[in-house]
Amino acid sequence: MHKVSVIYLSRFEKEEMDHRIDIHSSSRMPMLVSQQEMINNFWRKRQVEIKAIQDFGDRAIPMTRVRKIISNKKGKMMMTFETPSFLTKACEIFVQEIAFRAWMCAKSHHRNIVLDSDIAEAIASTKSYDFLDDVLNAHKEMHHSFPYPKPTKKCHQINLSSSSHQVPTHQNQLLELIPQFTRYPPSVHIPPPMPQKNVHCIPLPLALISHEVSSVIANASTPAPTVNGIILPIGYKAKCIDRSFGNTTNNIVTSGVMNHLQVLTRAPPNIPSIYCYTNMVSSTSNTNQENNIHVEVATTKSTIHASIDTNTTIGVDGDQHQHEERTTTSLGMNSVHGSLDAQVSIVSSRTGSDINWDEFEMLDDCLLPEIDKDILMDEEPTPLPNSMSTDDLLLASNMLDLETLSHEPYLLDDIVSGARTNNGC
Amino acid sequence: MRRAVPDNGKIAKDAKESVQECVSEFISFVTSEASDKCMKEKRKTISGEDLIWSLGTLGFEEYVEALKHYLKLYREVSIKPPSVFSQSCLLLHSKVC
Repeated sequence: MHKVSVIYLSRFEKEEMDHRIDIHSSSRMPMLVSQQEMINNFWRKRQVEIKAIQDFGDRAIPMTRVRKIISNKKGKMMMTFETPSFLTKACEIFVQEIAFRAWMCAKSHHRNIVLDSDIAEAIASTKSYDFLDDVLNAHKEMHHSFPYPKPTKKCHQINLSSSSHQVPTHQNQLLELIPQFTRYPPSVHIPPPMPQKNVHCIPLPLALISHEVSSVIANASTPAPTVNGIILPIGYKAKCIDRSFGNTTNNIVTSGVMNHLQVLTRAPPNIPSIYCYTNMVSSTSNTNQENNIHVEVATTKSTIHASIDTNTTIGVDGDQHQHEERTTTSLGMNSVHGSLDAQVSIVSSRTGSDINWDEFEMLDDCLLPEIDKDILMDEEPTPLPNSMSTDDLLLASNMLDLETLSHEPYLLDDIVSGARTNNGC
Repeated sequence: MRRAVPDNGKIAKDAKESVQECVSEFISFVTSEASDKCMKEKRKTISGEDLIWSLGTLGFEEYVEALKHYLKLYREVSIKPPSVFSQSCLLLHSKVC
């Protein structure tokens, strides 16, 4: 008898399918009415199904599980003998209803497969499912806690997601070496990228530096911490950077707070490689300010080929003190046109008082050998000095050959030299 | 879930997992509502009627009609064997007597 009822239902379902096909060929408005009809049909079928039950032992959901959950919730209260079976049947109908609604959502998106998003849509669209909102959010959080791909062996990436996200083991090692550094806070924001002007591609993996460290570095040599840096390994493959920085951008371009980005470059002598330390400092962009320099970077697919002369400096200077020392990578007074792997608008300020320092991860000098191992380098990396100060904001201008930078002045140069000039170097 | 979706439809694995979590939450939700009702009325046992009441209160009105019928059928099937037994006992008793 039970088998007969199953056959009966499948005929119903077939008719419903045909009916559904007709519905979807029509316009949107009638679909809503027919969706309600489908739901009514669904309940009619459930009624028929229940009336046709012969064997109460045949259950789709295990009753023992349901009994456990009830026992946990009822506390010291007792329950009648029909409670577990009743609630199991209620759950069965609940599952069928939510699956049916999710199926309708999937159909509305012209899909034959019911996805997690359809379940979410069904929950959101049904008032009686409001109690599931917390479950949904918890489920989303759990499944979206790893927004970034894990770093490869040759790519150095720092997770710029919120603190609730797990950091890949490599980054964990880095973080362990910097006990005073804090994780990238979720509140750090990067504004939407500005329109590109004279875009040049420079793959720059950004290592966010905590303001504490940057303050320490800045304070070591100057009262006005104006310089931050970007770690810029030469020959860093664009793919790695795209993945790291691109993901970073996707996750942090959520609000409009501008960040300072200044480029520190340093290189060991006679080594054609650049390590630039970046620090993101929040501030409001104000290109009208005399001393503010706006940096634009954009995605790129090329690699940086640069060489460094330790005597050369990159300056960030509204007065263009460093322009005479600028190389092909020199930066202009009020705008920087550079291409990075992610579109980030960065503003730097010469005066420390204008800067709002945010906490970021920062690579210490002691981490540089780690970076060497993990970053694709065209040339052989050399060990960098352990100590770093704002005096180290040097870029070998005559050795720096950033192919993708134009000959116009760039902020990168000016940002670094700004602090240097402030430091009285 | 498969019974609610037509034959040509498929269900993603994470969709099934989401629904599992939703079901657990549904059971907890309905049970705690029924339990609160019993405590207010100073009763110590949760019955099927309490569950039907809580389903209706929580916005699952469509479930009420279908599950009322289910409860009635289930009780009939559960009570039936003892009544048959008692009837057969009566027959034996009458024969003996």
